[in-house]
Amino acid sequence: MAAKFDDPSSAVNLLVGRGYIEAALTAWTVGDYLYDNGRGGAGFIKRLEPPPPEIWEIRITYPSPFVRIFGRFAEPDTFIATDMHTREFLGPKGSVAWNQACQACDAEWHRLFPSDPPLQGSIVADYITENCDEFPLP
Amino acid sequence: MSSLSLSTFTPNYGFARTRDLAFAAVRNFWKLRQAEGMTQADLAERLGRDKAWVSRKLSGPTNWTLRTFGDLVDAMDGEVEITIADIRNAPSGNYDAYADYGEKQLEKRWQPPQNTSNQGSVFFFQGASGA
Repeated sequence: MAAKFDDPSSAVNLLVGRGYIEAALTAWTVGDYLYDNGRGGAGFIKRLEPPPPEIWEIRITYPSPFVRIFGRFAEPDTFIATDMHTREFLGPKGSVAWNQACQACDAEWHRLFPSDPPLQGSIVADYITENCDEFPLP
Repeated sequence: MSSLSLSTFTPNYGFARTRDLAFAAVRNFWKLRQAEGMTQADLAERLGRDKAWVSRKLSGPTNWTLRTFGDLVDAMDGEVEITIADIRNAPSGNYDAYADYGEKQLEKRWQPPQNTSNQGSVFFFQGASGA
């Protein structure tokens, strides 16, 4: 992910722009309030349907095309980003590209932390302890 | 582990960050008004918009304009106050999210396993929530 972020010719930087991604990451790291999207779902961040389990996405929803940063939580408030893709690349939920992206996140986690499972929880507050709306988890 | 390499000026960062902050401020203010009994229907009526428009605008900053921001604040009987922070002397790069941690919290801090072959390939994003 570092390579994609720093490479001005990467798809996410060319199509979306590093500035938007950086702004989203700033919101996370400085503790901005993270709102749900008002429809009982996730706005800024969302846990994806398993399998594999405990894959999360930070959702950059403007401009278009949108960006998804995949990763997992190591502990509360500690998000480990493994890769990012444009929403266009991923296609509809359940697509081959989407499933491959989730599997790649899982594989990267196990490659990096072979003996450390990701954080598991049942509510949002298990993962993000402050400044975040509660929203349903799949 | 690689840290985020922030440039001095990144196109669109200021725009995106400002819009995020504006949305957060409006959303926060809206929660106050909601607690006082204001509804999205009330807002819609004041703005001369339909409720669906209000719902969309309060769910995220997508397609927000300065007019969106100003109209929403005004319709909620609010007044915008703007300050600009000088970040020239602010720490950049390796922000220490644990700066305010107490000793006991630091003892519990998750430490990545030592895996030198993977250095520089992962970002660690620590939410600064004080946990």
